[in-house]
Amino acid sequence: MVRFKNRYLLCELVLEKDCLVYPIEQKEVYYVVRQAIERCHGDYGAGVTQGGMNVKYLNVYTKTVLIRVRREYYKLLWSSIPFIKSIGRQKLFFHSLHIGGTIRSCQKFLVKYGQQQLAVLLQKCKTQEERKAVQRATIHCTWLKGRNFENVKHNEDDDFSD
Amino acid sequence: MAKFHDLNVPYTTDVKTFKQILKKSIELGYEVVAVNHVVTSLAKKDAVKEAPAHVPLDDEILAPLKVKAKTFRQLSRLTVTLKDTQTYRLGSGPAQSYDILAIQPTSEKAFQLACTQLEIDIISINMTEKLPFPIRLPPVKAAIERGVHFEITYAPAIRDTTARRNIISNALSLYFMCKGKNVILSSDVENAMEVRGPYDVANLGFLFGLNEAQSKDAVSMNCRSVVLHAETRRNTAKAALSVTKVTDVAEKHKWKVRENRAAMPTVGDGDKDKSSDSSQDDDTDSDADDHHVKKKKRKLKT
Repeated sequence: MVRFKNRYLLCELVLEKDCLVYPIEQKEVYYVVRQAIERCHGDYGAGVTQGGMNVKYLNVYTKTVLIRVRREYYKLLWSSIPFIKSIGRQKLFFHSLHIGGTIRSCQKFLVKYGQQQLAVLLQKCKTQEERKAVQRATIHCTWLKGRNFENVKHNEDDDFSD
Repeated sequence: MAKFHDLNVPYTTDVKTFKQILKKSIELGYEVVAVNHVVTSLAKKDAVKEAPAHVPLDDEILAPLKVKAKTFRQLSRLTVTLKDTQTYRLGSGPAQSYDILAIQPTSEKAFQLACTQLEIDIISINMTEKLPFPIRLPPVKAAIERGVHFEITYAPAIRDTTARRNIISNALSLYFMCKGKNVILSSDVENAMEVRGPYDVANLGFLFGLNEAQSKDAVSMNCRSVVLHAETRRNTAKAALSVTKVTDVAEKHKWKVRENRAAMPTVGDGDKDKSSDSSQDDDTDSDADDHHVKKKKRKLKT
């Protein structure tokens, strides 16, 4: 059976000055990436990605982007991504996290990555309240699927710090 | 999994920018960074200064690595722009206090010398402009045999379009000679926004002619080879023997120090496997009063 095989590139937008929400639209990201491919690989790159490239997912809070591209041409995309310096006036660059064959594999990676980032955030916490909030978030996202965590009591006196 | 190295972070006196660059590198996943000091001419007596101390990083910057139980390593690197063949300052003195030595040859003679004779680790050709000399096969082959690596920097390609074209063209002419062996990719960034993650940099290898395995090696294994080559060049005598100060000995090797052995349970004849290959006629333990020097034997690599 003939099937279009794709590669999904999961990237994080790293801004110069980190902000909570970076209000950007999918089509802006698409145009910037397309421009970078054109500059790097010329008309051939533009032609190849015109049909096969698409920005599938964008999260403005975690600044995560998921770009789909045809499997044969993912290298063209991936080798042009480092040359992106800004979107509009905002200086930023793309940090590629994972490349997968399906959206699901990228999602699985994103879950693990999110947990790692929470651990890093815990290290950077300065007040006890921040620390407790991050710990609560970590516990919530490590619950296994299907578990009903509404029945579990959270004891406020529990001290998780060591 | 090999660590990701970035062996060319230019040194700036602006500590804030420098720390930002290191912070970004750590966030993106680099574990070993070499701070590069460039010296443009060896003519003056004090052209090369002693390697400055490492920049201390606070816990917040090191957090991403701490979480994965990894450590960050800062090395010092000296790059000398070599035009003619006067290299006497490289052999001793301040130049040897740097962890890694690199040469940027600007003439064919200097390139030939760097590839075949000089005791260096990296040959870094300035690829942003037209090459001042053609890269030929015999010196490149000799360099590969000696373990010297060639460096391609990517930040100039991000900054400027003409530089990008020149870098790609020069990198390809290097690739045709070296077939992708002994190539390292490094940054040469001016500010924190030019750093790119290791996987992105490895994919730039695709533009420079490297295949997938070679490009990944260019950011990890080959850089590790450079660091080991530099250590062998500096600390060992004939690549078989190395000297470590007693205070610098790592925790797992502490049993080798004679003074510590009284406190530890006997493990049998620990001395025997040390004296099998190399001669131990001169005992350097009684060298100076305030510091002891301990011979640490390295097994010859086959």
